[in-house]
Amino acid sequence: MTVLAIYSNKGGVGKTATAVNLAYLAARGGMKTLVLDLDPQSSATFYFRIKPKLKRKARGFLRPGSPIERSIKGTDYENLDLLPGDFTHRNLDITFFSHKRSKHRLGKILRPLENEYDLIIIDCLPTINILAENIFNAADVFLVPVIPTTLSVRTHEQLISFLQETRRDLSALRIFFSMVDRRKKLHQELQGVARQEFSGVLQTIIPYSSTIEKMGIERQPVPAFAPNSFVTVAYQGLWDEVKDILPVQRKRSRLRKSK
Amino acid sequence: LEGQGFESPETHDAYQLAVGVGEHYVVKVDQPCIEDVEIFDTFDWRLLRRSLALCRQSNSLVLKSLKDGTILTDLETSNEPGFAWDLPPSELKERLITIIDVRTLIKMAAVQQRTTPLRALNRNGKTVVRLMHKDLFIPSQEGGTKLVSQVWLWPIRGYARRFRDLSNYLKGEGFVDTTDLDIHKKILAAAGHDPDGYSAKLDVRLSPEMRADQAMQIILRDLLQTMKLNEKGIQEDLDTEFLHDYRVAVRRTRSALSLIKGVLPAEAVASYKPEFSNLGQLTNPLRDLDVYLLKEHTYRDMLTPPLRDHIQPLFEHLHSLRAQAFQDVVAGLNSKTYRNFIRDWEAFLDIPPLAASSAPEAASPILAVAKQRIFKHYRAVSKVGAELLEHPEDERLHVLRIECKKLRYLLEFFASLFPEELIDHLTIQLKKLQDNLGNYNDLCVQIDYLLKMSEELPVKGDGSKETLLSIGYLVGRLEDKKQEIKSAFAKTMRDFAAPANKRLFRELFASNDGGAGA
Repeated sequence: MTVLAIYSNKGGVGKTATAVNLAYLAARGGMKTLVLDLDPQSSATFYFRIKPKLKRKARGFLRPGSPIERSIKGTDYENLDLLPGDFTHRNLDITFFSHKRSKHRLGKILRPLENEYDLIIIDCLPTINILAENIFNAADVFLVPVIPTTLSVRTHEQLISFLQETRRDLSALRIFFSMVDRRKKLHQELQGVARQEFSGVLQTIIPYSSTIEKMGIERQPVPAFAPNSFVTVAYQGLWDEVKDILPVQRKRSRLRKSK
Repeated sequence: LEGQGFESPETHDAYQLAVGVGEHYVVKVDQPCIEDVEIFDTFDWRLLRRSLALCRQSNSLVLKSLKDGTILTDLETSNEPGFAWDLPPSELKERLITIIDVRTLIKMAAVQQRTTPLRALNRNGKTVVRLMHKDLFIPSQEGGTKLVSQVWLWPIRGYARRFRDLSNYLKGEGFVDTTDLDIHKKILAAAGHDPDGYSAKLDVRLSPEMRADQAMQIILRDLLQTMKLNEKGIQEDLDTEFLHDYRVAVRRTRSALSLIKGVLPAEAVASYKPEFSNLGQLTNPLRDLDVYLLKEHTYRDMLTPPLRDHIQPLFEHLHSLRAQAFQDVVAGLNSKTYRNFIRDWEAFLDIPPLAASSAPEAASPILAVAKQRIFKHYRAVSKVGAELLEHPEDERLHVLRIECKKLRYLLEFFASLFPEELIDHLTIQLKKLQDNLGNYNDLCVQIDYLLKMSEELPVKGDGSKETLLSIGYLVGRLEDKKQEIKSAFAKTMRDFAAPANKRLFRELFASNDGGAGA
């Protein structure tokens, strides 16, 4: 089992669309895939037409060994399941904080799923706190969508300094440019700057497109309802790049604190 | 998450299914698909016996489990499958080799399958249950006759209740539970096959009080049936197992006649028995050659690389010998003498037992006869075995092997008279000993045969010296193996002669009542 976290400490960067579309492509390629919707707004859950609600006992991942398996729902696609989002996730950081070894709680919750899934994709909520630390500890690869705007790039700098402060190894971190408007000169310039400044920038660019926005109307992944669109091609390219950096076997997270 | 299969009521088609389910859910009907499916298995149903099915459909071979319908592996190929070793390297090949071994795959049935996938959606347009309507047709020039209609349901994780609801709905509409195995058997039956009809194993049910001559007739009829069922496959030269099974049935028949004397009229036995020896003689050369040719790869692998190519003339020679031996067997089986003999033998086995038979034990209960014969041969095995532990001589090893064989046949003939698990246990114990002796004997025979071949191999060109050299090398390797097996004999024999086995043989077969025919 490999854990891929789609993470950003800024909202509205195309995180959920990335999680849903990559999960669809991974499953279609034969990987048994689970999407973990940790966003209290449950957008990923909405895209799959599933009710955003966990079974009572699994709420907020409260109990140790809480039966999250029972809340998992099959999507309309083969090999692709979802753990629905839930409004109670808004308090996830508080929940985690109140536990022993609070920074490793998420990893422990995922462990029972190890044999069932090849890939778990976490659609994270935009925050840097104890929940983020949990995600850092549980994930094998970190994928951060960045819009090539000044604010977005600044936010990413913040993330990196946070990771450095908490003495984490950055080798599992990848960024890619999301919602890129090719007509905007600034977008192009900032991409160039960012490629120089940050390491781990992927080649694929996900363009700004109304097709991605249509996901909310179609309630399907883009490659499912628009298989021939250029967005599908872009996501396929992104998935091909990401797939290559996933560890073959589950290794301990490389975003652990380096001593 | 396992699917559930139903057989549809006759009038129900995919459209009606959609309408019916549509009363409860939004139903989405996906693109229907028509496909020709051919089913393959070995003559003795090695796949079906393991609840497996090999289907050829749309340019691929698919190995399915009939327990739950899962596809175990598939292989893209447009060729019709035959021997497992001829398949391209693949998981399918690996799996099939261990299951079908030297048997060939035969097309057993062909059907046309028309499938319509459907989905039941909830109010959000989310799929909550998958359905599949499937019609099977026996293809014919008039467009085919429908064999069966099925509906399959697959649950989706997290929507178990919807699945149960639909399953109950179908049951209420007169759909009947079915499995892949049921459907598979139905297809085979429609193609005129009875998979339970053939087994190379002796399959007779005797009752302890039965007259011995009657029981003998039942055993011999079963063996005759096996011979007859294999004749066609031998003549068509499909694989080597037809001849092998045929010969085993012949040998068992001969053994039955010589080990269980005094039950059938002596004069009749005396007239038929030589005919079975003749059948053995007729088929010996072909079987021997089959065995060597099956070992072609093993022999090649035993040779050091420089010699590997030089063994080729040996196999060419064996192939040409085999072609002749095959013609001889076919001619023999087609001869009038053979046909008449089989007809007479069958008629003899169908004669109802005579109250006043000339054979002394004809009317004895079969249980007493069985016990006495088995115990006698068990004692013979023990005696020769004990001697051999003192002085392991090649000649006596051969005697022990023959005695073991006799005992084994007797256990097989009369297995149904004793508790199954005990007979199975003893058979396994005996088999270990037989394997050791058999392997040893095989190697002795192979070495002699290779040496004989080296003499009669036609001399062609300069390569013959190297060919002789490679045969010599091969003989050396086989000689090493022979010694290895021989050194394992003592332990194998001691295991067989263990007190627990001794006690079991005594308990089951020693007659306390002074036994009939003792």
